[in-house]
Amino acid sequence: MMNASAASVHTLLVVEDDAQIRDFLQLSLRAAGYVPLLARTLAEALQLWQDKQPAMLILDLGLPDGDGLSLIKTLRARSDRPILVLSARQSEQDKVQCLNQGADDYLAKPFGVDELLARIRVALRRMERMQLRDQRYQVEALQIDLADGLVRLHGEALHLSPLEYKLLMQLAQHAGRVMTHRQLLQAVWGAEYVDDTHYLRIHMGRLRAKIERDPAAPRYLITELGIGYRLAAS
Amino acid sequence: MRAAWLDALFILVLLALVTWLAHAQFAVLGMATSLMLYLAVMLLAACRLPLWPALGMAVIASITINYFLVDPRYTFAVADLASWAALAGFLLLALVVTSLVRRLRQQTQQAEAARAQAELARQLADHLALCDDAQAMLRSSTALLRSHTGLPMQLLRLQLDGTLNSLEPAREPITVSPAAVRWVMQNGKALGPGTANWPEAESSLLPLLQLPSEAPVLWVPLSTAATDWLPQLRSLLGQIGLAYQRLDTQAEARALERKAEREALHNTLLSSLSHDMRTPLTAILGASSTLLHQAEALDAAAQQRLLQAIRSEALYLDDATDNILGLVRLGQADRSITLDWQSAEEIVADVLARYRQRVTPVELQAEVDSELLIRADARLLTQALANLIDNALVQHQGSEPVLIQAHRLDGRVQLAVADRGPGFPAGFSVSSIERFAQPLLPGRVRQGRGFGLGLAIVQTIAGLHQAELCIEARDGGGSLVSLVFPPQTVPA
Repeated sequence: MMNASAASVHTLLVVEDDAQIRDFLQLSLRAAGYVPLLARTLAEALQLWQDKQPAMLILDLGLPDGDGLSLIKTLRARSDRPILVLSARQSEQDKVQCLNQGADDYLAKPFGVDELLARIRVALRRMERMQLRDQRYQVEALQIDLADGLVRLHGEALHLSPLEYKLLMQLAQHAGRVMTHRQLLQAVWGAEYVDDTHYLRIHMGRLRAKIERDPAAPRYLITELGIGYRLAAS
Repeated sequence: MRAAWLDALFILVLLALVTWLAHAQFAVLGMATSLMLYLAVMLLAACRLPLWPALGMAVIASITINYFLVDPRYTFAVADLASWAALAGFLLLALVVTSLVRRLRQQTQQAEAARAQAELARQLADHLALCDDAQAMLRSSTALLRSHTGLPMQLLRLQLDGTLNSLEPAREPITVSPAAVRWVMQNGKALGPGTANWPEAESSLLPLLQLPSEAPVLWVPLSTAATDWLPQLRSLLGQIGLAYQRLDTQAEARALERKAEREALHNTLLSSLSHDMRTPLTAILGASSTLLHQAEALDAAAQQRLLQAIRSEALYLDDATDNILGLVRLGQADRSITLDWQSAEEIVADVLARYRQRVTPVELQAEVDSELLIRADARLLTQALANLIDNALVQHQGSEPVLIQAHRLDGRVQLAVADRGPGFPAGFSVSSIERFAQPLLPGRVRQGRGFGLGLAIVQTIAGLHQAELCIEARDGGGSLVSLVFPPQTVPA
């Protein structure tokens, strides 16, 4: 049953070699109103990506015919459409590499359909926002105006140090997406600081103290342990 | 050889010079002084030349004196008895001086050789004391012997296919026969020149140990120098052999220890797998088959409950898999971990979020110092914390939530979980946590992951971080289990 109210029906390319998981992805994506295209191998995926021009790619990292990382590089060189990586929970290094190579987001296996659909929505919305040049971020009490750089909490302007401000802006520009430690350190501190994770930890801690009601249960600034941070999707 | 020729030539030139001087200035010098000049040259010859050339020089000198200085000159005839006596006296003196100097030289050489041998033995002993790997010890000891003796020796090992290989790759090609090496290994006796066995062979083979063994054998290709060194080489090899035996035994003990550890880990994993995996799988199979075959007999609420059960068991399986994978990794030979600065707040928040997202959410209370950083592996640290919380939840009673704390403690960092349970059994201490203890306690409840196994994992993780695992009774009942990290300085 298609979701008839969707303004445009998105075609999603799913690259997954396990038949059971492919089956379950196909069923749930179709039920959510998307048109899934299924590929078992990287070669098939590349072919479908060229022929059908899907709106986004959902890629399982552990494919039999090679390295998902190289597909991410190839596709990133050609287009800006979102890439969501599915991978085992324990392999942080793989995920970080994929994200640094330009993947938009990752989801650790095993995952629930609700999580997957949320990530797909965020990724697709990013494309729309880029097209609409939407410059506003709002989640609950937190408002960020990317055009004039104003940050408001409960309607009141928030005072942030220059570094905290730069950090928050980086996250807001990619709201809903995970930014790796390396990406954030490079964007805020500069390329020579990419290994100084303690700067990031301290300033994220200060940012949480200013923005979050309960920093031990953050609502906006989400920690992806061992990978990076994300600002909750608007 | 060339130096000896040069020395002989030098002495001959000196002889000619002295002869010319004595002949030209005989009126001034007289016979006595001339003979003394000749004796001085003979002394020099005895010091610089081997025995026979030196004696030859003495004879040449006597003949020269006779020809040029003794009347009648320019003939080999001798005019009077006094001249005969002078000549004979000179020759005798020259011979005595030469042989005395020769003996002195020999003694000096022997003393020097003894000193060099003692030095080599001392260096070898020092070297052997420092080695802790048998193969490396054998290689470096051979190199030491080789550099001291200048002999092209190598240690050979007989391989399973019957061929020989050198302990040090890329040395001279091996020209000795495997059968000879096998004989030395089987008998523990030396073979070749300078030994009682097959002395006409082209090279010597010396065993490391003076008894039948699988130890490598030293191969010394034949040369005169080699025969001189052989006795000392054999005694030094004895030292090396003893060190080899010691290291070999140690390595064997270590291997056995590792094997036992691996087996114990294996057992823990098996019991963990069979219980932690099979129980939830049974629940999932049961619930799903009920839904498949008997759905019409169930009302909507019952179906929903079964679906929830499947989901909750699957989530539990996911957690259990994490722990078991963690255990496998901790048990791997290379236990190196990557440490990075972690925010205590983020670690605690991550673990708290997991408990909050459970099918039956668990409320935990957190107290975390702001801007507290710990140098740790994020995944291992969350695993340790989750295990401590699981243990606490098994024990915990009453309405106040389990408390998680991260505090600075005189420069150190303490990460603690506190419960209000009955506490640890009397006499329980950290040292009694057996890493491979039977992990499952009778009556264990599902949300916990086992008492002994959990703490054992925490203890291993603590060890990897040089942190200390502390267990103490809490004021007002219950226990406080904490990881205390050593003082760490956050870079500026």
